[in-house]
Amino acid sequence: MNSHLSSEDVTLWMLGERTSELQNHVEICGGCQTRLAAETDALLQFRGSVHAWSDAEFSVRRTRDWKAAAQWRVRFRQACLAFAMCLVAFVAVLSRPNQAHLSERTMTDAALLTQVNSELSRDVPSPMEPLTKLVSWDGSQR
Amino acid sequence: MELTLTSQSMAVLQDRAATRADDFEAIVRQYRPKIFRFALASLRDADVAETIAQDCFLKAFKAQDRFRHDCSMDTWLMQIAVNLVRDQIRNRRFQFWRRARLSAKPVERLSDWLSNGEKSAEVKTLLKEKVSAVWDAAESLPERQRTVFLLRFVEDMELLEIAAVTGMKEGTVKTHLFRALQAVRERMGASL
Repeated sequence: MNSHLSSEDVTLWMLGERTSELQNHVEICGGCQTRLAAETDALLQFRGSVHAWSDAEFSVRRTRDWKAAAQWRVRFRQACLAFAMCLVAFVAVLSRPNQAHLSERTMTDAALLTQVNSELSRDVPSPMEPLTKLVSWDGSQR
Repeated sequence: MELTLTSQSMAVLQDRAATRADDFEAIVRQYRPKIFRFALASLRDADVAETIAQDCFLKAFKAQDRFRHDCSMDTWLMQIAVNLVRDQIRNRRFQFWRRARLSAKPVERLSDWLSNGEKSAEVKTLLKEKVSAVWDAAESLPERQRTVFLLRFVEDMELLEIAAVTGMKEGTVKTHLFRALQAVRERMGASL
């Protein structure tokens, strides 16, 4: 092989298909050595650029994932705390007696007691007196 | 007695499930960067590459009982990733190609990720142009050629491994690789 390596020879060399004839030529030809080194270096740089870009993207994503997970945990805790506080407040409101309702009921009870007392303290009814006249309220209504 | 056995079996099953999940977690940690890198180099879109990596491990987790161990875990996962990337490229071509092209990183910027060796500015510029040309050429390769090119020159895989991952015969891989490298070299030569 007197001339330089052909394009196909270089491709085969870079793919690892190195015949003894190719090897002999590369050993003695400085031009082909330089050419092979430059093209191999370009592919190595390409490989390096892919790895560097991928590593950079990957680390950014991992950090973002970790931060997102941490933020999610904090937000979850806050939401749980808020929910628990709401629940306690709701239960407290429900269990508190209604003061207005209570006082109204006490007054009604007192009025009823007074009324009953007045009915009981009256004189003995006369014979054949209508029963409806024995009470002061309207017995027909419930 | 039956209840005891059942609860024991349940505990064993739960233990196995936990062990399986732990094992798979370790697999994900080990192989995720590689799957992500291959998808990123193929599609040049970090978000899509992340989705592909997640889908790959999801598929693997669901199908791990059917994994026959007739190849390595690495090869099996790469097989899934290659299929997912191929599906994605087809989907892009027919459905989302316009949006996908817009979101993909421009080739000119990819050559910014050069290793920081002690090189002169002139050499760096020259290398940047060459790496840009490789990116450019890789993008314009047919799908199969691009896949074998990336598996060989980015992932450093041997021909037999590439054949196992892509499901092609070794001779076919060799032919695709030769054509791919020839095209890339021509583009590199033309860029200078």
